[in-house]
Formats: sequence, structure tokens, C-alpha cells
Amino acid sequence: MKPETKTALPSPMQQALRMYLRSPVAILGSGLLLLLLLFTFLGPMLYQVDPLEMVSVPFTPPFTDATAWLGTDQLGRDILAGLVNGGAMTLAVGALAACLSLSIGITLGALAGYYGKGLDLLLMRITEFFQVLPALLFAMVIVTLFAPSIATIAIAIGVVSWTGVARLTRGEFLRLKTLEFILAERAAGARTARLIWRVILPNALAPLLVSATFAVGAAILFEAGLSYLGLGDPNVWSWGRMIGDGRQYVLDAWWVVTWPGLMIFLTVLSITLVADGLNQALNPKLRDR
Amino acid sequence: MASQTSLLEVKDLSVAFSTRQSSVDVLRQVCFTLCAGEILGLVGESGSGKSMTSLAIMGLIPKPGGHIKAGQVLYRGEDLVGMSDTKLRGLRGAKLAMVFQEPMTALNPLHTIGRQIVETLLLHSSLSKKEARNRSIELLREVGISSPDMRVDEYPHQLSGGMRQRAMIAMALACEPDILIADEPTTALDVTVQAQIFDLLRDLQQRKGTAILLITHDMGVIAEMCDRVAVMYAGTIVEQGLTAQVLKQPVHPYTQGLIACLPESRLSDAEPLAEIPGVVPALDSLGAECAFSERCQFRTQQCQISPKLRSVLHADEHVAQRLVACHHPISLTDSLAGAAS
Repeated sequence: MKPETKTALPSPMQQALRMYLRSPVAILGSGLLLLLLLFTFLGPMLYQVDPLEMVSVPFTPPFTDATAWLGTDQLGRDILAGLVNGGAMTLAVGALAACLSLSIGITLGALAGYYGKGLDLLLMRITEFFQVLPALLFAMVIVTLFAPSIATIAIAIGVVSWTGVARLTRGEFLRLKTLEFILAERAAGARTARLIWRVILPNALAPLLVSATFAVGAAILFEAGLSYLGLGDPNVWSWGRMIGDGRQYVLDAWWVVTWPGLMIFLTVLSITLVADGLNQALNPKLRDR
Repeated sequence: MASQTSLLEVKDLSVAFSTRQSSVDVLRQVCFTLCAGEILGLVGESGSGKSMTSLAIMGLIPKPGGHIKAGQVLYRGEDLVGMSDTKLRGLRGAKLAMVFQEPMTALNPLHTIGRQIVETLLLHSSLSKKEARNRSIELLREVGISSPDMRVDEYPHQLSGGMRQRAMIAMALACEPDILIADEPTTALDVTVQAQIFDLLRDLQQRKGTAILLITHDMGVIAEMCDRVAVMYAGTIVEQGLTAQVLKQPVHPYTQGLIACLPESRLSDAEPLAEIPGVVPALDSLGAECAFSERCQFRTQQCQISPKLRSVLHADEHVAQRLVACHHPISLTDSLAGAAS
């Protein structure tokens, strides 16, 4: 945090940051997330074992073989190497899909909320259409239609998961556009584009930031689900794919699915904790708890 | 006294709000002129259309539903009603500025007041960011904010109500507008702060020659501040003239009633406060009759047809126009008698 020069008074964002750092849940979540990121992005450099290479006897249980500490899978591949190399895909798809769903959701929600009337009606009907579609099924269709790759999977997840963001954004816009400072901005000659993106949206950012964080977690789960169903990118190693490949052996070799499952669990948990911490820091009603 | 060139002319301005089923006229043929460098007071009860008039001038009538049905708003001879959005935006903030009632909610809570003034400046001028910042510090100093070079980096929630209103005024004055519309600028403030804000407004008006349209419900404020006054009732202007003359000799029965209601107009403190019998009619129930006729003691058959704003000539008035919308305006002698009784 910045040092207290003169009588610097904290901006709303600085205050929120202070609140965030004061919450144990948020500290735990960010710490865990940081470890996972290091594991995923520094891991492959430190632990240089090919995840596709056979290193030992198939179905070696964990903690019995020094060459593969977490055991091996049905083909004798090192599971630790798999975990180290599978994270990047999971996190990349999670982040990309969340970005996409936020962009669609915020754009449509903002337009619907700001303009209201006919446009609102149209956009909300479209939103409802996407809401009632079975999301996983729809994503599967998209991925099957186009060859599965990081991009198509991220697009598929993004396209099915923006509805919540759109409704949240619309609600915030409906609330904020009646406030007097919006009128004051218009009276000062501000353009519509400026009102939407520079004035109203920043004021709606707190709940959106929380929802964005949750969206990353949801997208990671979604990616794992698709990979589990065999719809992942066949050229890229991922945690979901490890579970998918190992699911037939779950009764004989629990460790094949348990380790990647644990990784996904920890990732989503850490992101959820961060989101919770953000929510407490940014929501003035929860602040005093 | 201010010069007589008219800066803003509102002519027969009618504003309606319509839903699918019905339409309600909230402004009916509002007429007034604002001359360069004067302070015109717009006074009336809540719901009489004061704020709507100011929003209509700025082209900021709440949508959906609200629209200008008829009339003109001439700024230096140019009609603002049919003007393109782009052109109107160029005028807003630069030539026509507005100060709002609630300084608590009229500032963006996310930005420092300095940044908000800077952005207004950048919208309408070719100043650099650095120049705009220096100018905004200067503006804050002009509106009487102490240590403006520190305050410029503060957020609205760190300022008191009076400070915020000063910051609002600084923002409104940023581009040196010709016209400042102040919509109940002190209603949300303490009485002591009120006086300071009015001093500031008058001081600025005298130094910069900005014409001010001051909207208020307070006759005391009108008496203190305004060169001329227009009295509004149920969406229309019922009387207009020089403040001193209107207050001393009201011609419209409603104005007379309003003035009689002031505690100061009683002869002794023991006397009960006067009131105007009845209530303001609902805007959607108004027909062709005079809106005040229900409550008026001078009502006759004639009052079935709403009177137009017309000039009444007083014996001692040659310069200023005195306008009234009444079939039975109180004559000068009656008026004096009425105020005394």
C-alpha cells in the first residue's frame, strides 16, 4: 500500500483493498491461488518430466516409487507430471471463458439497462432464451460442431454462461441511471457512450467484479466437465482430461482421478474464497461484519 | 439593474408525460424571459413544474414518457427544442449549466472533485490536462473552498454538504456559462450554509455577469436574491414581474395568498398563520378552467376558460413588464388592502 504522504485520503478502491487485506478468508484464498499459479506456470520448468512418457509400471500407487511420487496411471505415465502440465489449459480456458462471458454479459446488460423500452425487452428475451438452454448440452454441441481447441472450448463456455452477468449489469444500470449525478453529467454535456462506459459502469463494477471471479471458477468446472466427457482438446493435457481418462479405473486405482480432482477442487475453492473476500470488501453492507 | 437583452426566452412551453393509456400535462404554456446578468426566481409549491421547466430548458426531460408538446426555448434566438443532440450537448455545460438540489448525490462518488471538474473542462475546451487541473484549483478557490490544492484530490464523501455544493457550483461555472440554472441549490443544506451559498451565487453573478435562473419554494430567498420573479402554479406561470413589486403588490390571487401565508405578513404573533383553502388540483384532472379557480375567492363564470398570461399596467410601472394570468387581477389598491387585511 502506498505510504501516507501529506494527509492522503484513501480512494474508494484503496479502502476496498484495505478491507480485502483484513479478511482472513480473502488472504487464504489469494495465497492458495498464488501457490496454484506458481505450480502451474513454474512447475513445468522445475519438474521436467513429459506427462505423456511412460516412466514406471502402470497403476503404481502413490508414495511407493521415487520416480513417480504421486503414482502412475493406466499407461504408466507420471501423474505429478500430468498435474504440473495440465493446469495451464484449465486456467487459460477458465480465464478466457470468463472474459468472454463478461464482455457479452456487460455489453448486453448495459445496453438493455441504459436504453430500456424496446431494446431492453429484446435483449432480455434473448437472455432468457440462453438461460433456459441446458448449458452443458449446448456447449457440447458447439464443441462438437467445431474442432475442440482452447479457443472453441472457451467460446462455448462463454456463450452459455453470460446470462447472469447480463441481468446483474442491467439491474445495476437501472438503479444507477436514475441517480442525480448521472443527470448532472448529462447537464455538463457528456455523451451517451461516456455515460455508459465511463460513468455508470465504473459505479456498477463492485458486484460485477465479484461475479467475474465466480465466473472464472464456474468456467474451470465447466472445462473439466467437457474434458471428462472426452470433448477436450486432444492435443493438450488438462486436469479434466486426466479425470476423464482415468474414470474407468476409479475402483482399482483411486489416485488416477483423485489428484487432478483435488487440483480442480483447490483451484475453484481458492477463486471462490477470493470472490467472497472481494464481495465483503466491496459491498458496504457486508463491510462491518 | 441588469441590461435588458434577453438571453433565454421560453415561449408557450408545454411538456406532457404520457403512458399508453393517458397523457398528463405537467407544464402548460410556460412563458418567461431571462435577461443577461439578472437573477430570475421561479417560485412555486412542489409539483408546480419548477424543476420540470429547468430540465426542459436543458433538454433533459426524463424518458421514457416525457416530451415537449409545444413551445420554444430560445437561447440567443436559437430554438433548443428541435436542436440536434450533438449541438445541444455542446451547449450543455458550456453555455447552460446546472446546479442540483442534492449535493450528496449529484457528484460521482468514484472520482475526486478535481477530476470531475477537469473532465467538464476537457469536454468543452481545448485545455491540456495540466491546464485544466490548474483551472479547476482556481475554480475551487473562487467558490470559496479553503486550501483548494488539497481539496482538489478529495472524494465527494470526504466533503461536507456545503463544500460539495460549492464544488458543484465550481463544476457548473467551469466553462463560464451564460446561464446557470440553480434548482433549489440550498434545500439540502443548513440555514447558515444556505446564506453562504447564496452570497457566493450573487457574488459570482455580479463578477461574471452570469444570468441565474433560481428555482426555489422559499419566498424569503426570492426577496433576498432575485431581480425578477415568476410564480408557478400547477404547471403554468401565473404572475411575473420585478421582485419588489410582486411581493409588495401581488396581482394574482394565488401570489397574494402565498405572500399572506408568510409568518412575517401577520400583524402579531398571536394571529394564526393564513392559508389558501383547498389543495393543488391533480394535474391529470385539469380541464380548460383556470387551475386556481377552485380555490379562488374571486372566481366567476369567466374562469371556466383558462386565462392567458397578459400584461397589466400599473400606474408607477413604465420599465418592467408585469404579467399575470388571471381574469380578475387584483388592482393596485385592492392588493394593498388585501395584504393588510
